[in-house]
Amino acid sequence: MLLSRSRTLLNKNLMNARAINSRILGLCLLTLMGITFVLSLALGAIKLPVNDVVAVLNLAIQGELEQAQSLYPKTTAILLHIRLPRAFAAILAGAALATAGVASQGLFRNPLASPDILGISAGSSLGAVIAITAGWSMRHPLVIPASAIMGAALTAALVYFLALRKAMMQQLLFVILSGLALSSLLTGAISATLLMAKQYEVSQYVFWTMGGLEGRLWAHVLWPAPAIVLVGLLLWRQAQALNLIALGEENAHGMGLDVPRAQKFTLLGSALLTALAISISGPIGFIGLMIPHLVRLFVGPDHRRLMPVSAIIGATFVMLADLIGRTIVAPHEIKVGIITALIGGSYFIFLIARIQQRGQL
Amino acid sequence: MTQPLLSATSLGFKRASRILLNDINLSIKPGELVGIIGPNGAGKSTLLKCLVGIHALNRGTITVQGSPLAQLSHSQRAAHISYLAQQQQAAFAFTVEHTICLGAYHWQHRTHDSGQTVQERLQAIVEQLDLQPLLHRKLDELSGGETQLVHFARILMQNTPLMLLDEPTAALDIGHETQLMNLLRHHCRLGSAALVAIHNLNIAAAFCDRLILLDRGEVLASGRAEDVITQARMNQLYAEQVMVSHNPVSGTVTVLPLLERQLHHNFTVHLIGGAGSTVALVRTLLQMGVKVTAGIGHEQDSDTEFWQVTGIEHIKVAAFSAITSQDVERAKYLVHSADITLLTEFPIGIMNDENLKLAAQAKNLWLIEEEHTDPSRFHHPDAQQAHEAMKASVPRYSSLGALATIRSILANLTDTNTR
Repeated sequence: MLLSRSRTLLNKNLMNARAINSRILGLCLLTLMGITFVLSLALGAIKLPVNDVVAVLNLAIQGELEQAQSLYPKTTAILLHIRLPRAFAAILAGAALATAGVASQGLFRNPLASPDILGISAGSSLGAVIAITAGWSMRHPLVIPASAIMGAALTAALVYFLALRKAMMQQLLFVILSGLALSSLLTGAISATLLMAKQYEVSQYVFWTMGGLEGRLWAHVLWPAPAIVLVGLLLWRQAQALNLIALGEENAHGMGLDVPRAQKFTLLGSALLTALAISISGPIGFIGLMIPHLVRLFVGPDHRRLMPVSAIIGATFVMLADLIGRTIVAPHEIKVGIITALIGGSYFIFLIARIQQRGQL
Repeated sequence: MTQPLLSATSLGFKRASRILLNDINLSIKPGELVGIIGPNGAGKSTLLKCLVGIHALNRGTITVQGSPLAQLSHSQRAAHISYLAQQQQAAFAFTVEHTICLGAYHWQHRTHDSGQTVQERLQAIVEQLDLQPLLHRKLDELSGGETQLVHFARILMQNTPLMLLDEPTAALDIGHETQLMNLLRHHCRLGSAALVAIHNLNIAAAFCDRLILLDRGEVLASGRAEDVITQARMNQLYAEQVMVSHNPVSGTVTVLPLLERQLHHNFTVHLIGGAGSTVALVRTLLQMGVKVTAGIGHEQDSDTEFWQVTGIEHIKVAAFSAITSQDVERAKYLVHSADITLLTEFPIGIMNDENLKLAAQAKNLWLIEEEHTDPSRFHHPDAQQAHEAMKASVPRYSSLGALATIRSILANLTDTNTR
């Protein structure tokens, strides 16, 4: 569905040759994601035969879950209760963070922007730390995600009312400053809360901030999924608006774009996507910054292509990072956030070196 | 009478109690190329931004083909007016093709175009602007001139009756500047209209049908270039640092910068000549800061007209009437008070041979002799004899030689003054 949609959208403006190119590109990317998906289901502390995994998936797709359970009881159990929800969590979080990254880089006309500058991450962290120190997190596995998304949503609302509601064109600096101010305010609140927390609560919080996918259940994944897909598609519709804004807000206005509306929409959309992703995986760093950047090097800066491709690559990347994290020192796990931070940090150093060498990104 | 594409009445705009535009009235009709000129900070860009709806007005109304601008939706407005902002760097390096196609946003949006029309129009524009070799290059690989051309192509893609362009040629060399302005003019001849903010007065005068001169947010003058750009107004705006003249070849108004403010008002050069032989000399001498006088000339002679527009003191007689000895009497005081009198090469006949008598009265006469002398320029032998006699007794220079000598005299003067 995604592929055919992307094809119709692309065909609209690109010449035939390029549409075929993007069809091939789309196919390659989806194949890559499929392989990673199957691998992340098969590999782990307990290795499952790939054939069994594919057979179970086939049966499950055909709705014959009971047959799968009787034929491959162990594989089915592991897949159904542990690895499938975890893989979907990785896909959703990766795609959402990458899409939000593309949107905010386009919006701020800066390839180094990310939704973090709006204070969304700090807001969700405060939500999580409150849930942990108040002891609510023990009651239900969904409490931390729910508090995190509440914190993020409240922060987004605050930024909106502080800076955006009356923001005119070219006042994005104001938005950034409000986000920064709010971020430091929230970080202060987090530290104050932690100061009064018990030792194990502090540990729990620290682990949460590392971002991880261990123990993700269907319950973690199912409720944010429709929201992520919906907001993601709505943001994709803004892709052409982001292309116009890239030529400068005033030129975009001249070409007939309602610039403030597009800016608000994109800001809120990417804030929401970030919040949803954090509710699934905790704050995974660098995806929103690194993936769009990497993808831009290959498919160019057209947001209509950049956004879906980044979503797919983001999903694949988080799945891969998680796979590495739980196989490299199995049966122990390295949290996915640590893996992405290591790769992301190295990538950033590489980028800086490149900028210094070439004078450009 | 055709309805104006855009008209503004008593338009006012202020920001934080500072008035940026005050009581501006203008209207633009199809086919017109109108230039907005004025010093930095005069409000040229602000006016364009108001007209395209980026700034909300404090006073006045803007009407676009009969309907108020404020009531148009963004896409309706974009169907009437396109706008090119003063150079803004693109955040991401799109290809040239992609950038141009973005111009189609408003109508592609509305008509759900499949891409066919965009491609056809793209081909036409690319051919016209000769952009084929650039089509698949990225924006950050282009020179300043190429970039502006691409943005102009994008404006053409938007396909609007009116184009507002803010300093489209500000960073361009004269070749690209001319190319862009000619393209713009061509499109106006085809029925579009354009309002262009330009700080280069010469380009504005050469290409625009009409000029609007802004100063401190108000319209100081508007109309044909020669009525708007006058020495008096330029003195007021640019502190007597420029000189207004007419280009003897193209006839357009030309504004020249005066070299430094080192005026030698106490050093005077008088020129005797005609048929355009003094124009280049007068211009250079004025730029050197020398006081220049001239005469005797005939009305409607190109020299006399030039003396007139540059505002130098001169003596003239009516067209087609001979210069008499009374006229020489009248002009005598000029050659007497001049430090140097230059006699240029020009056709001499019975109508103007009294000029030779005037030259004979000069206290310091130089003859200007060009490389290729026209042997038939004396229409009667008396004049030629008088001239030959002069040759023997006074210094003779080429134009450049005379200028160089005067320059060194001036340098010596300054040296002695400063010592």
